[in-house]
Amino acid sequence: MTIKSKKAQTEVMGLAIIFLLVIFGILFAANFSQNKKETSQKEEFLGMYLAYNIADTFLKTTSRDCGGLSMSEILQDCASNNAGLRITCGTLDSCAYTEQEAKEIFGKTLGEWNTGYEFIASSGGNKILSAGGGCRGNRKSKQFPISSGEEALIVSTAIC
Amino acid sequence: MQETIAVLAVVFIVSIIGFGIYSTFFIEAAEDKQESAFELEAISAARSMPFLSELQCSNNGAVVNNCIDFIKLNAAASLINSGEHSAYFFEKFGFATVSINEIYPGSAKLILYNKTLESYSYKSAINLPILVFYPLEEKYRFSVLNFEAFLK
Repeated sequence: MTIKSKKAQTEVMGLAIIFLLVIFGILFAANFSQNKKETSQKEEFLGMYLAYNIADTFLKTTSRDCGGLSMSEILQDCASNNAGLRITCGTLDSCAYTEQEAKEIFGKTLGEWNTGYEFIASSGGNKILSAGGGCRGNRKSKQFPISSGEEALIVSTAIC
Repeated sequence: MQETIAVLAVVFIVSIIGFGIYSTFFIEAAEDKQESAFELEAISAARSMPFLSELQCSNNGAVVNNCIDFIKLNAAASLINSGEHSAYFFEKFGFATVSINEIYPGSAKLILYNKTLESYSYKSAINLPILVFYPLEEKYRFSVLNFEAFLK
């Protein structure tokens, strides 16, 4: 065997090594990206479900000290009446009361689970209630339109 | 000849190292997939809980979504964990602990299902907001269904 052909054989082997390494690299990358996709799918599902579920549960909850009215009914009063004409729950009017209770409930749930959230109720484009620190970046949100007088009352929750 | 043997030895070693690393990643990925599938099963089981006829609320015959009746809840807790029916619920929920924690206005806690596993490889915890209806007072209380599932 000549020196030239020996050299060529060595080069071919070198190329084979590189080829193997590239194949391994591609397999790792494919595996890694697949796992990442599955995790994000799960998180996305839970986020969407939680955004809907927590707002729905909150709106149907009976208030502690507002004559057995649900949070949704108190919010409707808040949206459809001017200050002074609103119902009073304890010492607070309907708007301040729902905000206080929303902060308590979301703080004891999403707050304790270290989940970022934003809960907003708006009527005719004006924000009447807000709880949570707000969301930056990726968020899953749900909106609940509630009938209330002339203006549309929109309740929205976002999970960050 | 010596060069060829040396190159073959290097290729062999590199292949073995590569295969070792790949199999480690492969096992990890398989475990991740198993955990991911387990998580999805746990979510599905947790979501099915309020729809059990033994627990769900109704208003004038119509089912109220995402709601558990308090009177049914107390009765179901003893029924679910009793020897007679435990096999049926074990088939549905497996090794898991399910508790209902009241968040507002009170702070009551009730363990609904309890089949824990002392040594487990993975644990999935899911918290779902849920209403607990008190029919005698006609009040809905904000609660959280805590579902902890254990993988052997």
